[in-house]
This record gives sequence, C-alpha cells and structure tokens, in this order.
Amino acid sequence: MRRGSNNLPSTGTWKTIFKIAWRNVVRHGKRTAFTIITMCFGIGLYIGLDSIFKGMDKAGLENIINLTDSSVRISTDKYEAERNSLPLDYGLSKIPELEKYIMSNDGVEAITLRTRFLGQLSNGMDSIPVTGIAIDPVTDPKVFTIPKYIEGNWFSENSQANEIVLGKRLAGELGAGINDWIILSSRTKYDTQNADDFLIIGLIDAPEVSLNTHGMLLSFKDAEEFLDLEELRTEIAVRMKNRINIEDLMKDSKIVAQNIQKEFPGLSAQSFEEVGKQFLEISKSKSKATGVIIFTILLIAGVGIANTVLMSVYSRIREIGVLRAFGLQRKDISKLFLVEGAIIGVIGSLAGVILGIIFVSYLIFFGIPAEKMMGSIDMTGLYMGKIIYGHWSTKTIIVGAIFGFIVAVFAGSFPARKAAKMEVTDAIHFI
Amino acid sequence: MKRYYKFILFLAFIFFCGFLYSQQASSLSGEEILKKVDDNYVYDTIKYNGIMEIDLGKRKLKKEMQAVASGTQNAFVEFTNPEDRGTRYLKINKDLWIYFPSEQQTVKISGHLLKEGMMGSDVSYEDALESGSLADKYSITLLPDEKVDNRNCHVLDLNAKVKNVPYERQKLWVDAERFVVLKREMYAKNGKLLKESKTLAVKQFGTRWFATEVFMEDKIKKGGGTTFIMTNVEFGIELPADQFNMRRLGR
Repeated sequence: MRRGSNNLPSTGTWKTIFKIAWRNVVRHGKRTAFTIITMCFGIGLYIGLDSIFKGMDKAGLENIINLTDSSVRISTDKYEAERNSLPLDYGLSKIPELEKYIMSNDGVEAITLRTRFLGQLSNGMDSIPVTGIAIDPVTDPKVFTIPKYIEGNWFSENSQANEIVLGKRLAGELGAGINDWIILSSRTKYDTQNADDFLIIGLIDAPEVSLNTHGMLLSFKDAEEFLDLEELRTEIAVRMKNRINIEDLMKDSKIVAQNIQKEFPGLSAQSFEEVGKQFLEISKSKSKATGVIIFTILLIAGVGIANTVLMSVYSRIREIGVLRAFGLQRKDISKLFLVEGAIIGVIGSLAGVILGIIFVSYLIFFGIPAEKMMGSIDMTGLYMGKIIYGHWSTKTIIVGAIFGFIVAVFAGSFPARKAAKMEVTDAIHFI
Repeated sequence: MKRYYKFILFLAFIFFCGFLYSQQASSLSGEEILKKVDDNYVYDTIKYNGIMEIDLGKRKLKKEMQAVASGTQNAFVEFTNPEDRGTRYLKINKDLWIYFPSEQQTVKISGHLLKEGMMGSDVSYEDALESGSLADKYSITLLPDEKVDNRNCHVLDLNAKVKNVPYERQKLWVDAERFVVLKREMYAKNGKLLKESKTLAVKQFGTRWFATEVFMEDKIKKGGGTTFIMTNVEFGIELPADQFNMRRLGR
C-alpha cells in the first residue's frame, strides 16, 4: 500500500478504503437499509414538523395582524387587566387627540375603533356564547381584512334593520344562514340585560378558526343603542405599512406601541408580537418537544448505525487481519469503518432530506386541514388557520442533513476504534 | 215574605262587605303592595334544605343543598348531592366566594362570572345576589288585576328609573290575599321577554306566606328551566357568630 509523505493516506488509499467500505455497506444490504430507513424517517420528520410549526407561527402572526388584533392594539391599562371578561367599563378618552398622534407616527397606515363585548346568540332553541365586536364598517376594512372572507354582504350604511355578521361555523351550529334572524343577548354598559333580533347579512369564513367559531360583528350604529354605549370605545387597532420581512414589521410596531405608551400614560399599547406572546411561547415549547422527539429518533438511528458497523467488524475480523497483513495501518482500519458509518450517514441524511422535502412540499401546496381535525375543540387564542400550511426553511434542511451525518460518523467511531485495536495474528486465526 | 226580605238584606250586606274589601285591596298603591311582599319575603334568619332541578333540554341535573341566610345580605350554602358534595357558597353583601373541595380552593366570583348561570341553571349569581328594595330602582305602575292559577293577583309593572339594574322592565303578579309574587317576567330594553319565573308552591309560616317552589325559565331559548324547591324551612333561627366567615368555607 502506498502512503502519503505526511502519514496521511494518499488519494489512492482513500479510494481503496471507500471502495471496501462501500462494498461492505452493500453486502449487508438489509441491515443497512433498516438503519437508513430509521435515519431517513427521523430527519424527514424533523424537517416536516419544523415546517408545520414555522408555518403555524407565520400564519398565526398574520392572523393577529389581519384578522384579530392588528399590528398595534391600544386600550386602557384597566381594560387590559380585565380583558378576559371584555368589560364595558373602561373606554378610551381623548380619542381625537389619540388618533391624531397615532397617525403622526412613521409607518402607520390606518386606524379603527372597536368595542368588544360578551354575548349569547340564540336561534330560539339553543344559545351559544359569543365574542362580539362592535366596529366602524368604513374604517375597519382599512385595518383588518375580514371583508375579504365574507360570504354575503358587509354592513350597509342605510339599513333600518339590526344587522350582524357571524362566523360561518357558529352560524352552522345554530342552524342559521344569510338572511335569517337571530337573537343576540348581552349586557349593556350599565349591566342591564338586553336582547334583540338581528338579521344575518354575512358569514365569516376566514383563515382564523376562532373568528369562524365564536366571531360576531355588528356596526356601531346598531351597537350604540343595543349596548347603551354612549360612544364608548374600548380599543384602537392600528395597521402598519407592510414590510417584506415580518421581523421588520415587528420592530416598527414595537416602536409605535412604545411611543403611544410614553405619550399617553394609562394606556396599554401592544404590538402584535406582545399580543401573540403566549401563542409564540407555546410555539417555542412545541419546537423543544419536537427537538426531543427528533433527538430520540436519531439516537435510535445512531445505535442502529453503531450496531450495523459493529456487526460488520465482527463478521469481517479475518478480513481485517488480511488487510493489516497487506500493510494497512490501525488508523486505516479505523478509517475504513468510519467511512462505512459515514456512507450510511450520507445516504440516510440524503434520504431524510428528500423525504422531508416531499413532506414540506405537500404541506406548502396542500396543508393540513386543522379545523376539520380539531372538530369542536375551542382554538381561541391559538390564532390557528383553518388549514395549516408548511413553511420552507433551507436552514432546517441543512441542519437536519448535517446533524444526521454527524450522528452517523459518531456512531461508527466506536466500532471503528474496536476494529483498529485488533492484532493481526489474532484476527487471521479468528474462526 | 219577611224571611225573604231578610235573606235579600243579608245577601246585600255580604256583597257590600265584599265590595268594601275589594275597594280596600285595590286601593293599595304599587309601593304598598311591594312593601307587603317585602314583609313576607324579608327575614332575619332562615335555614332550609334546597333542591335545584335544572332542565338543560338534552340532560337534567339535580343539585341538593343546605342553606342558611341572614337577611338578604349574608348567605352560606353547602351542596350535598354526590357530584358537588362539599362545594360551598358564601355571600357577604355583594361579594360571593365559592369553595371547591376537590381543589381545596376558594374562588371569588366577580365581574362577568356573576352573570353566568349558577351551577349551570337559569338563575344567574347576580339574580341570586340581588338585594335592596325594587321600589328604589323602579317606578311602579299598577295594572288591572289578573288571575294566576285561579288566584286573584295585583299586577305591577316596574320600569327602571335608574340605569344600573339587571332588567329594564319587570312585571310582577302578586297574590292579592297572601302578597307573594306568583309570577314574574323580566324584559329587555326593547321589550323582549328574557326570563319568567312562576311560583309553584306557597306555604304559611306563622303570619308569613313564603314561596317554597319556584320555576325559572330563560325565554330566549326554548324549553328547559330551573325549579328551586325549599324544604324544612325555618325562620328566626339562632346562627353562630362566625356563620358568614371565610374560614367556614374551607372547613
């Protein structure tokens, strides 16, 4: 065997080692295949799950901005502290002054006023709790994209009847449709029980599940009298100018929120990142949980690789002896088995990456029907879309491939060391 | 013939007395009728066993409880039915606490939770906590008498004169003889009927007439309702000094 001058194997030796290693990998086809399948499954799952979670995060943030809370949500501190019960006790004051200031901030595109309240919808037989939002039908579409997802009509300015827009699934549960009348009951600003008939003019079928299952909109024109609002407005929603990168939009929104809080003490201004904080925390936990699952799968794959290479060592002890007798150094023997592990790692990682790409492609083009899968489970606060689409991440694919390869090489190193330690005579005489 | 005249005279006297009585009864103002209702309803202390039968349409629930109360301000209720055994309610003035034995935790009911149905019933915590004279909050109009379950009733139409009332309008049918509310309707601002309660049983305790069985119905949805039955009712009992103390909740 020719050796390089600096004690490293020459290209020829590497070629020989690779040839022998490849032959061994192919020779133990079934064993290798099982190991490769485990690795492929682990890496593919990692890439796929990461794509789902990233897709959920992106869709969730977009839902907050476009459908539920806007880029910056402003209300009073007291209201924010009791937000869960949506009280009609803490309205915003000095609204014109506040509006003027918000619009003077860089990047602010539009604003709208909203008042949220709790109510019950009844079809005369059953009643369902709902989260109602009183809106300005003219300015609201400048901030939110809800009208894009309406079947039927948006609020008309001259209508005499009480009009209401409902989540499509909510209407379905009540057995109601467009042009049906429905009873809405709620408490007025003064806590007096009220109920009235409302005409369903539109149904919301948005990519935000909570809006479809619990959402209900009515115009300030009808809400004023029904809720005795006396012009009470509980929040201002702000639309920021769009940015290609969501992180940039996050920064812009944060700056505007900080400016408002500084200028108007007693107000709570929250950027969409803060609004979705809880949801992003859940997302982080999900990523951690995925990490643990993937690590376990790759650990199993690693043990499989170690086992495959170790079996290969034991089944070829005499061959090792012959190779050593032909002049192969201990290091070369070690390298031979390391290369064997590396070959399995490369094939497994490549297969995993291909499986992951197929999985991600499916998720990007078709998605997972979350709404159907979740059934009647309440998904309020999860900002989850009806269909969860995947998100392409080159970084994740590279990380998955490299990690799989490292695990394979690491797993092969133990049997490789064991093979290198064998004495020539013992190996040749091994039966 | 003389006998015949005497009989006519006797009948005339009876009719006259009846007329006088009816004149006296209907001459009561709405406030006076409500005062008489309050006299029956308001007590120093009360102790009773209660049963709440909740008809949710698809399923029915039965809650049993032991309750003591001092006036309309303080009350202590302990549920005794197997599903809720040990759950306790303590009401002090306008505050309400619930003790859950499985979690060994006490929760204060406030804000929007007060508007929820009590133990899934049609009676909200707010309904149960309502105290103070109706005459202070509502202007009263006396409507012509009507019959409820064959009993002559004064009909009171109550319209809110202040804004902070749970119902904009209420209509009460008060037994003209016993001064117990036999029927009550609660209306929304626009006149829609929200809830209706009917008294199913009235008992006399000394000079006091008291409704011991009441049915409450949510009129926004069809069917269902809650029946509340009181048994072993005792008035004017002695209560320990710490009866309405937070420490009692977790004991």
